[in-house]
Amino acid sequence: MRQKQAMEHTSLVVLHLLSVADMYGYEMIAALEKRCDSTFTMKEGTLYPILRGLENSGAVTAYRQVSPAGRERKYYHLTERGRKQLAEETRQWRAYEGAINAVLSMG
Amino acid sequence: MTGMDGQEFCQAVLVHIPRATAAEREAIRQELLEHLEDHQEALEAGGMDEAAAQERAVAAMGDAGEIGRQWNQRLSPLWLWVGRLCKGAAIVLLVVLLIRPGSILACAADNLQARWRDDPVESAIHPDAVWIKEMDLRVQLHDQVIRIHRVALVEDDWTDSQANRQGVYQLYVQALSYAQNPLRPALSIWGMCCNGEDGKQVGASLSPYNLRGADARTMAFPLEEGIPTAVLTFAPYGQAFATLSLPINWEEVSHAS
Repeated sequence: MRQKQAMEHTSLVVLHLLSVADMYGYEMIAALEKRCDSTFTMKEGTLYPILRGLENSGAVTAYRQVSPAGRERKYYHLTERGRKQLAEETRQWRAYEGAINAVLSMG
Repeated sequence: MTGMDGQEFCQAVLVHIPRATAAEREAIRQELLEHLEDHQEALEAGGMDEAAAQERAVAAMGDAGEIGRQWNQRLSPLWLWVGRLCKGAAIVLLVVLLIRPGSILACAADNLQARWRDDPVESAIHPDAVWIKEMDLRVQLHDQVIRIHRVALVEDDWTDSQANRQGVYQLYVQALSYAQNPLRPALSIWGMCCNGEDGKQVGASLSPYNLRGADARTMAFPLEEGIPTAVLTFAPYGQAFATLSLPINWEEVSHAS
């Protein structure tokens, strides 16, 4: 049985999603569901305070635009500062992941 | 299941975001509603009925209080404090406007004091008074009331040297006026004479025409010794409107040595 994990690195995931394309909130949730096959679950509303925090730090900017479905939505765009933050958080995650793998590979 | 619809959910989130300005609150509400709309539509496209899809979409958002608190932490408290300071300043300004001299509240306070206080004018009527009588006589002139609360007799020093005017006293009348409506200012409608003689104003605590709730004055009239009753006639604008009789008890008068 697959264990669902609480997502602790949401900002890393969000930054990565936005590095692919500008997206609006629900679009990010849908993309996450599709890519991770529900491995990660998150309360969808908690995405927005995270986006607000990223906006405050200058990692993302927001603008309104009509979506392909024909409705206007608030899109988020990854800035250059956001790309640097993504690189740093990815590096930290890799280091953490490597440390865990090293422990797990011990005989 | 939350049992809330989208609007209720948004409101439950916004309750926990006091730092948001009005424009930010509207933007937050709009973004959350758009998210719920998208999710509900996706669920309906998967075969779920509208009511169930709406409920599922709201439930998937998570705890409204937690979302609101997290959101609030990411907003600057600056505008919250600016708003509070503005409200505080507005309240202080309102209070100052209400209690400043000439304001409605100050007017009402003066009026009620003039109306009900036993000793509305605390100043001594005259240091050389040979007879002082406390009283509470009131006479109505249009919408104003004149309240006589103290009278006194003073021997007229100047007349001592005038053989033909021996036994003349000055009758001091301490009075104040107030409007019947406590919220209206007292008007200077003084036009008083005593036993047919025009009174001269020897002291006025307020301006001749004031916007306060009470107008207190002390007036003096010449009075022959032995006259049992002084009749005050109130004749503002040169026309008599009311008279008031003041009994004088000459037996109580203590003559100066």
